[in-house]
Amino acid sequence: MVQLSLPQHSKVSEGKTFGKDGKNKIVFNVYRWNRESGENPKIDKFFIDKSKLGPMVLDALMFIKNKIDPSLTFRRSCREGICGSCSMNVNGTNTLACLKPIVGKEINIYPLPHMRVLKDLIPDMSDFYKQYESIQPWLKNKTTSKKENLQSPEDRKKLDGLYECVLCACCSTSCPSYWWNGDKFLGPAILLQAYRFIVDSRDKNKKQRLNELKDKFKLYRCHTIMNCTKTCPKNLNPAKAISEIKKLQISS
Amino acid sequence: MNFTYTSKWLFQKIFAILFLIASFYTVYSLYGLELQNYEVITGWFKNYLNSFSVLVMLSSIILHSNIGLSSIIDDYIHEESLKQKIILIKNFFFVVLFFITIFSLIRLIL
Repeated sequence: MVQLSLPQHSKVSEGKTFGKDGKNKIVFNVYRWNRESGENPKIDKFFIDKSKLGPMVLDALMFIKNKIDPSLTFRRSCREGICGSCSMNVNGTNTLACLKPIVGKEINIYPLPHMRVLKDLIPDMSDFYKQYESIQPWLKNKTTSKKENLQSPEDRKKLDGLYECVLCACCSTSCPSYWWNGDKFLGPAILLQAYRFIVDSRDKNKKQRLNELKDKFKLYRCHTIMNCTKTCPKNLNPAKAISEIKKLQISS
Repeated sequence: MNFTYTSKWLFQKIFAILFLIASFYTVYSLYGLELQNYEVITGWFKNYLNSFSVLVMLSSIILHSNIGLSSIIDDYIHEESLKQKIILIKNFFFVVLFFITIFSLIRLIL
């Protein structure tokens, strides 16, 4: 059965406090967990003067790591919403920390929900990447011509809103169906990518790709909850891509 | 189209549409009738079109719910043997419900 409460060792308690409250101060409540310590996760509080920070949540995290607590662990790379590394849960919404502006007096930062945590804000993405691999995310075409594989502007346009996905997993980890059946349901990010290859005119494997998805768990755990579309930091629409796959399943 | 989960998904949508159409017709045709009067209601059921719309309404919601409930069971129950037992009980419940619906309508019509 579905487990509705946190296991004993996952219950979160109050951690350390850095700095003091004051005028122009913002408090960052950051989830901390280190498996080597053997302790339960904690929420550390960081009171930081707003004038010392850049505009985005990632700037604050980098400030904390560089100036206050070097042990704080998180992924980041491009700091402009292209790499998808800094995905985390900020104030209850999955997003990219580099695209999320600091607004308000209190910011709560947690790792992506329902993922195994490796340390602090770093989730284990290995299952997610295995699922990505399972849809064979490359063009499959039997022609061995060495010429360019051309595509009409109309066909290219079909990929808009699909190719921009940075695989940050914000959508998949906001989906309740993915929480309960993350081992079998592919989730919105992977299904969006699957659709990206299904509609690509250069790919000649559409039928087999659709057959692979004809499964009550891989595809049909999507109940159009739409959390994926609401949370996507790149403003993409995975729910629409999933419904398009379902429509193609009927006509195929 | 092979009979796969795709068909189940499609049928669930079709049953939902049938339910909506039949419910609108039923409510519309009941509008203005004296609903507290037993004779008026049994008279309404004796019209075949009315009783057919009720049959469509109830069977479509039973079939729609059956698929929907299976989906919920698939979502939340992960232990395979428990899942099979619950699906068996659910199917039995819906078959009984369907026969009660048919039996009740026949009683009302005759």
